[in-house]
Amino acid sequence: MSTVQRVALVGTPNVGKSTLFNELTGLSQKVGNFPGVTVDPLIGSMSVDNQLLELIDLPGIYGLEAASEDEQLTIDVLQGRHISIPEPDAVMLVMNAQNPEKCLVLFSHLAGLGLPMMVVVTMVDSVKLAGGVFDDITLLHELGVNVYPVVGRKGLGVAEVKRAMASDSWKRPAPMKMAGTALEDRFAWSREIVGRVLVPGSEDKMRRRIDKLVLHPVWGTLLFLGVMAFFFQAIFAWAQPMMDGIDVLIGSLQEFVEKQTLNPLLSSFLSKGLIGGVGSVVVFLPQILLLNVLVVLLEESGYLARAAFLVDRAMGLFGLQGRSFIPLLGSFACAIPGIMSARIIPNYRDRLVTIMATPLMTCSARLPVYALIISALIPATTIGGIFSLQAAVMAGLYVIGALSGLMIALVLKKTMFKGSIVPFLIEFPPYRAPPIKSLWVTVVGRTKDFLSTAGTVILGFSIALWILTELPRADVSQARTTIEANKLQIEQSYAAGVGRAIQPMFAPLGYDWRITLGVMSSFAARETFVSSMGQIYAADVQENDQSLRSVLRSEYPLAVGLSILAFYVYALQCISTIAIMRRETGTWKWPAVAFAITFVLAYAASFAAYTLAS
Amino acid sequence: MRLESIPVGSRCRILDIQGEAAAVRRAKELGLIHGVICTIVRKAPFSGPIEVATPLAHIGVRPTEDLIITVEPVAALASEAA
Repeated sequence: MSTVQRVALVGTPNVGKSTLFNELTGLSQKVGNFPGVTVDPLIGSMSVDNQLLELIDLPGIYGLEAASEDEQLTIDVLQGRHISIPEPDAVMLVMNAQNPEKCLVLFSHLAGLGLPMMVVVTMVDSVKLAGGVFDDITLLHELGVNVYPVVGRKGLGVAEVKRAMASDSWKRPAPMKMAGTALEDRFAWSREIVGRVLVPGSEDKMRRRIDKLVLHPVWGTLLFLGVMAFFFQAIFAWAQPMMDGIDVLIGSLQEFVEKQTLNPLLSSFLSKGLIGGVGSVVVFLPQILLLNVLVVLLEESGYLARAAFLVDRAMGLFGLQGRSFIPLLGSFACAIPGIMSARIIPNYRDRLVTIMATPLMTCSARLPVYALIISALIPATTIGGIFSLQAAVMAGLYVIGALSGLMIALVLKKTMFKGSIVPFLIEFPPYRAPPIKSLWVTVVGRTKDFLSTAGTVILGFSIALWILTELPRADVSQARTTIEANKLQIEQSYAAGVGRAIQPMFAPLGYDWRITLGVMSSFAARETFVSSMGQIYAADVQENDQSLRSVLRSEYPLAVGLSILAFYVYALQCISTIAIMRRETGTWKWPAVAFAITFVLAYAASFAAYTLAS
Repeated sequence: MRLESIPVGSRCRILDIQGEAAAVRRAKELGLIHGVICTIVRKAPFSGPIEVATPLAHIGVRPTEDLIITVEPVAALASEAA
């Protein structure tokens, strides 16, 4: 029996720590829910020989001085100074056999904590494959703690590690013979040990050849664009059939409920409130699944670090880092997967700046709104006889959104997030085939996390919106058709009341209460604007797209159209984005700041567009 | 001379790293320590990051005013002994 119950899993970045964590804990991991934490560490529980152990996966570190909030969390936990995460009983250090130098330097720092330790060495197989030797027995004698070689991807040696964790195999490190405690002294000590335990194999020629292509200024850039196009295509287009399937399923469930003879209020709650709300969460699953698979593949294969190397300079112009490219690109499909993918950025501040810029990227939910307004209110003429004015406006909206987002990032970086940021500085990981089991565990874990955190917030917001638009119940006995009944209902809803009440605020933008209501209702998802306007004007958007367009054309001038478009470019009117921002930044503060910034911008841009055009 | 002025394919020995404390520490933690001999493998376009090969690792680094790496050139066939 061991007295160790809580184990901290620590290592430098890119040593295969997550893979080992997934192999050790499998699907029994959950996101640690600690107050005041900006990076939620994963907690996995393990039952070995009737003993319950808890393994906490902490962000990668190099020493006990942090360069980012993420690293600070690890250090605070290890030193028992964290406000809500309890101090671990023992430390498991993950070490990369191919480059153990910096891992041993980290060991020398950790040894000073006085906690029992063990060392797990990964990638021993890669050393052997290259004709080298890694001597774990000598290492054990040098360090005074147990050393376990594993091949994480194949699960080899994992069972031994598990047994060791539950038995009394934890040892306090032996005293180290170092000249001093400066980094140079630690490296001298580390290098001496490495010289005794590692005979490096021949240089990886395959890696050199792949690098030559992947990092080539021309071919590498083309490959990068290709990979990104593939990535975008996957979440923009390939997720669509599954999302349509979910829509159909939710729709038929709603229809089924509405056909039952129920109290109209209960029927509306079940169908539009509850089922609709659940639907608005579930509809994100295809994108989230695909995104997480792709992100793990990019990260684990070793490609992401290379891509970051290539685009670091370009992104740096906007105060962003190379990895910011992926969340921003993903957000052109949808900000939900986009913001989730910001997890690939290992530094809280950089992650935050990127997340703040993502909602400005034109997501696919804005497309139906743009399409409706442009086709209804922008003249179908050509510029210079070649370019369609409508198409030019659409393209312009994309460009304005993207540039504004990047400018916001730059301004934030120069103001709120000013301060010491380490410039681009990484170790290139070796190329690896992504481990399937670990991939599966990560993807399932992140999906469950989305459902339980952001998902519940989205559901709550959806039901609140249902209350606003469907209550109080209107008397629809006079209505001849469902369309008319819907029109009567929304005209008498709380939302219409609020719309009329706050309309004076939007009057300078040229909005009447109807547009104000349409904009408000699109908090559920931006495309809801289209169905809401249809409901308000009793126009059937499903069957006759033309009718709503002609109604809008007869009701509103061009200036109002431009004003609406300008508003949709900027405004963060999407509860799901707000919910995921809350989840990924760990606080309501940042979604609130983003909402405020984008609202001011949206209002100013709409006002300018309306005033100039009328 | 500075790391960025060493041409691709050449070798150099790290003499000193100056700049912002956190950046200097991180560079050292990655193994860019005084005395280490490294090869400049490639440079990203438009004065982007530089790929530097040390005996055990390949490191991507972008020298800025916050991270000034001073090196001396080493003859192509110098022994690894240093």
